[in-house]
Amino acid sequence: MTPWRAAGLGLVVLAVCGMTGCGSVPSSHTVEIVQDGRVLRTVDLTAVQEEERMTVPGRAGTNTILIAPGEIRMLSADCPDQICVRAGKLEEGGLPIVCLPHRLVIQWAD
Amino acid sequence: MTIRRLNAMALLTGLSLVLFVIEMQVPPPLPLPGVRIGLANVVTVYAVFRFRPGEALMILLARIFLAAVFAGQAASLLYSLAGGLLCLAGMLCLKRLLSLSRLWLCSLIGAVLHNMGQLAAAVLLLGTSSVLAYFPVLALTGAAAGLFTGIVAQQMLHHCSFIKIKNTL
Repeated sequence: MTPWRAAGLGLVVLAVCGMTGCGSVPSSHTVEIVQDGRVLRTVDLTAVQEEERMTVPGRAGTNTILIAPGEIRMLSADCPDQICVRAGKLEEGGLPIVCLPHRLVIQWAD
Repeated sequence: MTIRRLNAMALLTGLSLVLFVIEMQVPPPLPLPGVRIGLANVVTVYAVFRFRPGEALMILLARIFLAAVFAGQAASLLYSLAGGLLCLAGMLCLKRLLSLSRLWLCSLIGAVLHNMGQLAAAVLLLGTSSVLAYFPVLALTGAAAGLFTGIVAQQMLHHCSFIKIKNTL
């Protein structure tokens, strides 16, 4: 088996895995902000009236979350990689926004 | 352990740290947590095939701790440890099954194991299983990155005879 053939095979397998995972749709518009395994806050995005910036201090650093009507995103984080900020807003049925170094997750509530 | 071996191990640790620092200067390829090219893994794969298991472990641990110091990110230490140790354990087992010409496959599986170890650490540290949704994308990107670093390590094994140590393999 050549490397390229193996890579092609891997792609197919994972594409199938990805497609089966994309079928799930969240039942509500409620999100949870979780830090160190504790739910800091539960927000119903449809009930949000005006924009709010929530600062979340942690042991390793601080994040700022933007909570707007129907939308939630990480506004800033004082870590070097900025992955959670670049992730943008929390997509419906999408992957949770994760800040690994600060142990902070924004996820859809089940 | 001879001075010569110790010397080669120090050289490889230094090389993996240089690769780590270079990768640190490049923005992450995808804005997804845990997705990395893992250039430093080239050295780990090389060490698995050229050094004893204990020596490969020492190179890996020295790299992980010093890399955390260089990056100034003590918070990522636990993710790196979980991923790195699982990856090394898997590759040490695979080394017995695979020939040198299948080194790229060993690296590929090792990289996927690295991401799985990281994900397990993330579930424990973040305290939420919702991050398991990243499994497919991490397996895919891990396989791609592992294939790349594996091909590089395989070429390194063929061409870099200057760090080849006698009485190994």
